[in-house]
Amino acid sequence: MSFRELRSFVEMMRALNFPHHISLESFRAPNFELVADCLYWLYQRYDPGTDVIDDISTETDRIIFLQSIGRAMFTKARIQLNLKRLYAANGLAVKELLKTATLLYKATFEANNEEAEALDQPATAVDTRSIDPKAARQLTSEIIRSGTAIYDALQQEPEMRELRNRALTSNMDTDVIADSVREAIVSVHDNVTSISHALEEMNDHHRSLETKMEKRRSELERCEKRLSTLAGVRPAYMDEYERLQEEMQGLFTVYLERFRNLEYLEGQLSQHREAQEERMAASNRTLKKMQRRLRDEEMRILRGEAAVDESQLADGEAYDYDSQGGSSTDEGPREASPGFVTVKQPVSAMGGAIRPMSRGGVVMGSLTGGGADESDDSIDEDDDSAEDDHVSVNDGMEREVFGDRVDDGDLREGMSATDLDGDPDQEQSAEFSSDENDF
Amino acid sequence: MRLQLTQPRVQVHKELASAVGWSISNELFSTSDDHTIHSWKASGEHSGQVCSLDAYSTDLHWYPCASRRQQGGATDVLAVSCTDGTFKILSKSGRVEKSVDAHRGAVICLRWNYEGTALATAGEDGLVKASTSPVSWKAHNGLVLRADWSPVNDMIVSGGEDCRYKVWDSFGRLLFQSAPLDHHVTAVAWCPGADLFAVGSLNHLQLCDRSGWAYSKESLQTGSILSLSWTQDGTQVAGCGGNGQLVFGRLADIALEWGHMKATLKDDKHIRVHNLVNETVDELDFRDSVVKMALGFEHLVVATSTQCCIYSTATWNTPHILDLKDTVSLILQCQRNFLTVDNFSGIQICTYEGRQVCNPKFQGLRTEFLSKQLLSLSNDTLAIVDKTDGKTIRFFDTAQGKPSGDVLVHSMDIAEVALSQNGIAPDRKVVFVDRNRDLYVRRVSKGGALVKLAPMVESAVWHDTAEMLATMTDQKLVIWYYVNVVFVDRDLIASTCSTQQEGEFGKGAVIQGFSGSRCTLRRSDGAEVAAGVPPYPLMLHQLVAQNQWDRAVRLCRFVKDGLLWACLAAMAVDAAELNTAEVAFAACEEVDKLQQVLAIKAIPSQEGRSAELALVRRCPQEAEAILLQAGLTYRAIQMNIQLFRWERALDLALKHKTHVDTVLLHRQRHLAASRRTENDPRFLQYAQEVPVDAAAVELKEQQEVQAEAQRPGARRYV
Repeated sequence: MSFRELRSFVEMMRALNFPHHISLESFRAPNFELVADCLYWLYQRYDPGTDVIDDISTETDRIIFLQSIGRAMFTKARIQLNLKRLYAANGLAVKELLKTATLLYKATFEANNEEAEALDQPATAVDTRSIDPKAARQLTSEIIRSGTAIYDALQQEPEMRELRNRALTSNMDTDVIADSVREAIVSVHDNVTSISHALEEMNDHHRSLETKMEKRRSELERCEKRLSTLAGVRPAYMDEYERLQEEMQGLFTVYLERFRNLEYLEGQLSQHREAQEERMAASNRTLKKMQRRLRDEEMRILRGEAAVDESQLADGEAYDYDSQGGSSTDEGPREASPGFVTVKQPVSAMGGAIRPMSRGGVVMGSLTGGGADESDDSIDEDDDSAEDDHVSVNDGMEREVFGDRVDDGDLREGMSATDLDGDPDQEQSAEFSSDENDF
Repeated sequence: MRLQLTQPRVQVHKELASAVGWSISNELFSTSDDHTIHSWKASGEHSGQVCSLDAYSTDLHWYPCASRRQQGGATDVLAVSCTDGTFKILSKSGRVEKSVDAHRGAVICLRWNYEGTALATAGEDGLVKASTSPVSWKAHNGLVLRADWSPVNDMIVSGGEDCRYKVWDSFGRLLFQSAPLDHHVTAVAWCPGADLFAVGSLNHLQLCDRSGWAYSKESLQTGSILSLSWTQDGTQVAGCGGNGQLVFGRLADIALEWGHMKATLKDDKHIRVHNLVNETVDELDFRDSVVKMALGFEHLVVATSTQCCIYSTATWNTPHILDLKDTVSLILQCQRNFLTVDNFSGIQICTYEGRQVCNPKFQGLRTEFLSKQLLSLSNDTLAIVDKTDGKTIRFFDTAQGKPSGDVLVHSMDIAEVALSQNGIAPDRKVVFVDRNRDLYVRRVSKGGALVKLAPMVESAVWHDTAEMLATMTDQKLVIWYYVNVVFVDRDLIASTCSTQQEGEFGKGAVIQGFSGSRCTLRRSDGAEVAAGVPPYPLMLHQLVAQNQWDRAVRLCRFVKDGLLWACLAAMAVDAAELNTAEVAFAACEEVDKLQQVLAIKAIPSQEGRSAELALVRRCPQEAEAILLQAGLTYRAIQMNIQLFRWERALDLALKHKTHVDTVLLHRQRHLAASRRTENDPRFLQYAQEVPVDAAAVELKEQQEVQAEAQRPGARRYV
């Protein structure tokens, strides 16, 4: 007895739905009843129609039983059973039983598989109710068309018949044809299987893609959920951020205000500077004017047309110099006053003695606009013209005498005119020096 | 729970497939009568033929390897038994390393021992050959076709030709016997965690709980399932059938419940979480297959094959993630932290924030033998049954992983251990059930006394928030409402526990959980039953924890239950709350105890009262120490006299050179009352030396009492 065979036999009998349980220990001791039972059952399964006497009460009955079964199995199933072993009913009998059981088991197994395959194929029943009228119409037209085709083909038949006969009479190797047909069948089969494979793969692919899509979708959902929860959460330093933002807004308004004020003040400052510059330019201008006048006067004095009061002149110049640095609030009167004071005072001091001197102040007189002087002007009108002539003469002479110097002074004047922004002190000193040189 | 079955599309084995076995790297090897060995992936795909043998093979078994990390070239082998009487050792690649002629006739079965140091083979010649001593016994009405033993819980499951499967303990006591199936039971296999096993029969596969009842039954087309094998992580089972077909089953629909949350493992990478209160459903997907999961204490801990994800039940979006080194075999939770057990890194305690706290270790720790029953975790303590002798419980501090408390050594093997969950470390108590099913309780802290609480206990579970214990004792559910009573007053034990509904739960019912006012049980037929527990004891516990004694008294007055009064009395005595104790003892008609409480209240000094309370707790040594430390010598002597500890009283009197005559007087009176004569030589000696005057002694005693009342720290109890 072999353990493996016994196990296989028990397993097969179980799978064949043998009504009793067979123990693995059954054949340890001779057990003819079980052998006979199994054998009879297997034989009945193999050929249900036949009737075998299953009486095993006596030894001869047993032999008859085994012989009849053995004979039947040999004739019907081409299985030769060793009846001696079966009669011994020990482990070796299992080997004999296994032959029959294997046959039945394999057959059942294959039949089951075929059934399963058959069940897999789809049913091809036609439902007559579901015929489409449109399709039917199409089919009728098809019939008509094929009818005409048949008619045409039949017309060609006489010619064709001859050709066919010729072809038929020629020798044909049926084996080659059969082979080629078989090959064609095989190729078609291959084709079909490959297509079905491809289809299956496609289906698999489709399924996998669907599952992937599903997964992605669920991932998306989850992410969305997460996003929503995260959106709901207030960031950690948000309060502080908002507080700081408000604070910063306040600071910005303060800054803005200050900036505006600063801009305004800077504007004011620049205005002020411009005004000051203008004023300085104006004072320079007046100064220059005055200097020219002084020079003229000096010339006049030098020419002897007017008496010289040196101290007064110095005073006037000093004063003039001071007034330049002084406040600029009352420019008008000041502008007028230096000229007025410097020139007028000597006039008043000298009185009528230096009357011709005041001729140079005719210009001054017009500036002050005094009524008293007007009368003087009118009186001295004739003299004035005479004086003017004289002056012109003097001027010409003076130019002749100090030609170089005058030229020099003129040049300096031009320079100082161009260099208005230059140091007024320097300017002044330059003027004075030129004046001194003149002297 | 059920098995999600997949069968390979192609049939590889044309003949009967005789055995299957999973390798440590989750690869399945199957052998068949067609002389081949094939390998399969865990997903059920065929990966190819490994080798072909020159004989029919009957069985195969992989070399046991506890951890993926320990895997090496020398250990990555499998043994195959053949019908020609040899067994062969094969390498993973299919090369035959060794072929040993072992038996005359076929070798039917072979198994490595757990350490891999020995291989046992069983042959057709009826011999079992092994290098270690074999153990076997007859169990079924008919041939035993297959048996499997689990080293974790020492239980054996067997299946035989009587069409039944049976569960045994390691002493051969029958724990469960199934109803007969239609056909012979041809295969049984324990899951590595030992809480499940699989049973195979003709065209039939069944998943069973360790107590025997079936989770699911599946019908197949494989013929008889001749062999079953579980993967190392216990998530997948494979079987091979008589017609050569293989079947792969994966555990699915594992459902865990905690409070209003329910987590279900839908398939290997997918968990669905239901919140029953706001009726939301969350889907959790994992990269790797889920190995273990645990739900409780507002957290879901999921161990996959590479990671451990910790979810809070408040938000399912962002888990804390830990990397794992090996396959987790167990997860236990408590309120503050949880532990994972694997074979490489041992026991790891982690917080729910994903921080690893410690890694408790001791000599002889075998993580592969640990199960839920042998391990208990509380906020500050971890208790482990040492499997090397099975009688020792070791305690560890969960903060440092250092041993804490005394090692508990019992006289018997310990079957279950549980730590109380509430309270602080000094109050921590441990209960355990030994092999005789006796329930013992002890404090974890040093020097605790071991007290036997009940016999015939099938399972014991602590309440998750209060110090209450539910036990299945002799098929009855017993609730111990105040376990600490054993350390306070053992007379009250009986009156602080209640027994419920006799015989409703049947034999072998296991308590699953005890929280709130509900106790869930699983009966031996697998039905889950919920038993209601009165809510008042829980309320009482909460009030006492908040020190609201007057409200506790009012609650007891409202409920009018002797049990509640007894609990309150014990709690009050434990907390030295004498007024409450007086009310409670009066209410439960414990006259003697009431009088004792009144007497204690009358004691003028604080130390005297605490000494008396120590006496109530049956700790005379402690009481004497308190008194002597406080300088109350007379009271200490008096206490010893009242306890008839004459020798100790005399010693104290002599040591402090006072009240020797008092001791002698009381001794004389005691002897006179019991009509005996003095025969102790010391007392005879001092009776001659010291004159005894009754009037003087009484005067002295009165003076002592007055002196105590006038001590600076003395204060009457209010």
